[in-house]
Amino acid sequence: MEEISCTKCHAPIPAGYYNTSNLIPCPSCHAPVKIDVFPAFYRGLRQGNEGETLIDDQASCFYHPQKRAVIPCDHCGRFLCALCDVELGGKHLCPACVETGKKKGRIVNIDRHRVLHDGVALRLALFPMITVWLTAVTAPIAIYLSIRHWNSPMSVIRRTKVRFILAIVVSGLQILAWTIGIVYLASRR
Amino acid sequence: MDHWDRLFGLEAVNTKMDGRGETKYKRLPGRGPRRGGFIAASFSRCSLYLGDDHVLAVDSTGFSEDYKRFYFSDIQAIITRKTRRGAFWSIILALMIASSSMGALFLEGESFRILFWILSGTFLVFLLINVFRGPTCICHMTTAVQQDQLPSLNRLRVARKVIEMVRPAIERVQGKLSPEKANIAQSEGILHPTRSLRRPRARGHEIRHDDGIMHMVAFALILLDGILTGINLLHHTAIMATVSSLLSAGYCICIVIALVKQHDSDLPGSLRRITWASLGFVCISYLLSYVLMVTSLVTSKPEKIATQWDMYRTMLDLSPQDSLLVMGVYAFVAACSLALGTLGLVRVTGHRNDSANASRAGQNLGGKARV
Repeated sequence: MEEISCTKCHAPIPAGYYNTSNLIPCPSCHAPVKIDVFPAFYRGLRQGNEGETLIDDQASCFYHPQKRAVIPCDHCGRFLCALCDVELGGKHLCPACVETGKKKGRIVNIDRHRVLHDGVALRLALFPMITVWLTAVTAPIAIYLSIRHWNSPMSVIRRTKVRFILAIVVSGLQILAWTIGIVYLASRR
Repeated sequence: MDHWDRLFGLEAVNTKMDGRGETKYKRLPGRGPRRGGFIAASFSRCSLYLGDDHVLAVDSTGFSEDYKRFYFSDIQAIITRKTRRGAFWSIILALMIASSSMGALFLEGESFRILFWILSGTFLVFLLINVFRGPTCICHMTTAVQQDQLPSLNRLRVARKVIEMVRPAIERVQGKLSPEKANIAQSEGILHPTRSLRRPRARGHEIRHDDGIMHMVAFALILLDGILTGINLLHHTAIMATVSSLLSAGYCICIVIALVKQHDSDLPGSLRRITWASLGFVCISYLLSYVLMVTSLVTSKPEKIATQWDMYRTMLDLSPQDSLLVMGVYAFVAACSLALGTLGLVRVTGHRNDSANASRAGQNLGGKARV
């Protein structure tokens, strides 16, 4: 069991200070702290499974032929030992499938970064309006980005396509305004 | 829909590709910037979401998002620490209101008065919002392998609310803390309330001794400047104003050095706070000087000011007897300098005496042991 330290002075805080109803001063720096401890704190780190050694005609792990298979991979169907079994959101996957899923960005549960293409497109449509003339370049780019990334993975948090639609509408209006302006100037000459 | 979508699409493993199998996230209250120091260092805004089996921390810049997942089964503790950030901002805003109200009351031009009233009104709105949001805090979530700050929980009220929302979800997975564990934990603290604690240490660094020389120099210069400004208030001369400017430049540098030196040092908290307050005072006094400079440039004849030196001469010629605004600024600077300088010197002297006594006691003990 690790000890909990004050987040200000990093001095260890005695167990008597845990799960109090109010803030209490840290015994070392007197900063008011409240520590909510959960049962996992007393359990410590969970031990990983090693995988059992193969006996007689038992099915073996695809990656470790000496280990007994305990479960098939839910994606590729390969037999896995307890060591190779990666449980993710209720599914059992082999390390290779997890790696591929991570590379392709298909497993949201291990995704750590997402580019918000809709946000980029909308900002590209809106911000250059300050300079006006810059919209001649950015409006087509914003429309291209909106169409190109219409089906790309968006935020993990639910987001609608409204930003893409707004970007297309605003950029479309900008292009329309530029076209009218150019036509008007050309007709005057 | 390819095989990846079929596999990860609907039930358990979450994917966004078809929009149906995704985790249902519930937005938790609070949003805040990730800070590097006292002022927000990045543009990323953080917020928390409650998922089926984890808490999702999202750092969003508007262009991209970074995610961190805290699974309910892994969360060991949530540590909330109350900070003084909110109170500090309230003081800063109150000072801003006071200085802009002073400008509004004492300036002569109607347009300037309106501008300063608008400014003080804006600061007042910010102050009210800050007060209404309640005391500030820093929240950390601890797992077996990491301790991460949750920047969105930067107000005590919000932090309490979120913890109460997350607690049932964690207890659903981990179970409740057994009464025996809780009792043991409580009694440990009660049985050994005065047990010796390790000396506080900064992240990976030992606390080092600082005799506070730089603090002493800084506070001595502040005190000297306070005295000079006080004399200037009664009898203004250009030479004294020049010396005062040089002194303020000197103590500004000393304060910065002192702030760097006090990091990871054994200097008492009160002394550190006085040093930070001195930095705040320097910022405010420079802001006030800027206001004075702008008003003097506007009110004096601009054709007279051709070079930087002329501008400086105009500033030096500003006498407290000429205008109430200048007098107010001088009085404020003198009062703050005298207070900060005296307090700082008293505290740093106390620290030096304590250190000297401690080392003398150590030597005596060593001597006796040798005898």
